[in-house]
Amino acid sequence: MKLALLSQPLATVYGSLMHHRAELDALGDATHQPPYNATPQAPVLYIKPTNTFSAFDARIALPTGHVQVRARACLGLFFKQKWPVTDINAAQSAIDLIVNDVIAITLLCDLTVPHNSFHRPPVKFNAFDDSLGLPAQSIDTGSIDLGNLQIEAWVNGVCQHRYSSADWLCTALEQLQAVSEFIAFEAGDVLMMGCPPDAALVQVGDVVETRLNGHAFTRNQITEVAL
Amino acid sequence: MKHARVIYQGTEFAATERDGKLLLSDGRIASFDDVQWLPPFTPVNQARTILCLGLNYSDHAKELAFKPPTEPLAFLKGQSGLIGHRQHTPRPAGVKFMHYECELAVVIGRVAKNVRASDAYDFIAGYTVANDYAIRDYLENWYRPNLKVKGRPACTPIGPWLVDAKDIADPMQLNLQTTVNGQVTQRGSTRDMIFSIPVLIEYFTSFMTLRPGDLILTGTPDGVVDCPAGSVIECGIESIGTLHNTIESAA
Repeated sequence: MKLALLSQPLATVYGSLMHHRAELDALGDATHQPPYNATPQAPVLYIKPTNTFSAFDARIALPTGHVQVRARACLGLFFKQKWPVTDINAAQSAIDLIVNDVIAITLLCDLTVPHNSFHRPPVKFNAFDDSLGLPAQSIDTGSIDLGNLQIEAWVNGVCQHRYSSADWLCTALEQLQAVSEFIAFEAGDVLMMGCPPDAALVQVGDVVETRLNGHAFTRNQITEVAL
Repeated sequence: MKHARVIYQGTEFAATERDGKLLLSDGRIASFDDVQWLPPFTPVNQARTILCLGLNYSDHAKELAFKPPTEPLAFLKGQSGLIGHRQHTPRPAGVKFMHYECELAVVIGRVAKNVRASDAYDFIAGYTVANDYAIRDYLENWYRPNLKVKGRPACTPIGPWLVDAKDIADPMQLNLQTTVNGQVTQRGSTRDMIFSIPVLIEYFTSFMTLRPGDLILTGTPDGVVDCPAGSVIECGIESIGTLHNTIESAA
């Protein structure tokens, strides 16, 4: 596994909801009840805007009124160049080019206020300031097996959450292809994959680190509520 | 003053409106027909945050059979949706219901965090018109309105002008109107917003820092209709401008 510094700043970061099998399993029959009425047909996305970006080793203040947040280690496909994918053929081209400098693989720490309803966009819960730990590096080759990654969140030096990319409902490249039918990626954009719902809860004082196949990608300390 | 960004003879310019023409930043004058219109914003270093409101007019909420929300129904979209005045927006093949949404767009002018509603106007650079197209065929009840409906490339025309905030005495008293092929299909007034611009700025900045150039699309009133390929859509807001867009069949 070869690691390289990220070549440019991040632009728009998209996250995937209900992409890990455990996310749907946790809801059970509720997925067929109101307000959802059916399981998702197309990829469900959310956006982490630039106010959420928090550099490696930066401190992250809890949002006002909350004593803990969930630390979700999410794999990200990072677009090193503009890739205006507007149809399946173009998406397939992007996938074919994954080892040819269009996409790098990285890991991010997506902090979210725990919430149980997925009916409305949770802007207040997942777009609060500093709520996305950014990686210092990426993996620049096709030498890793995207279908068999060990993704972990470590809190204060202890592994508190671990899952495998084998348990996504579709592979990273299938997710990219489905999303590319309606999102045009620009240079610096990131598409994050799903994470199980039982990610670690962190609170003031905790140092949270995300790791991919044993390598640390993000590290942040949680601090007092922002004033 | 009314500001635009245009491409004229292959070069991008900042411009202002003067006597029904464009005064380019190099001093030349160009007619509206001789330029390609871009979204009317100065480029920013970081990706622009684009906040959008759903169900923010009581009549539209009623039209869509929702009770008015008690908290702003907000969603985000990426920058690839933005296109300028007089551009084309693709209608995907097989779609049955694609509609415009004429919206007053607020452009942030200063770094804003924990802003009180009573101070909110101090943080606004200006206003423009946005058309926040929705493709309802793709609507699902997960993070609704989901990005397949609202986050699509070239589906958020915006412009033609960024009008300085100081030139708009009361942005909460502006008439809106949309026409499709010249027929009026949507009428409303910004006074009917459920959450006013100052309240929205207080709400968003209570948990997120907004930066100069960030956008808030404040929602749309009653009166949305399907727009087949070939439709010419004109979204107008009093004192701000009229934004033209043409629907075309996706390749």
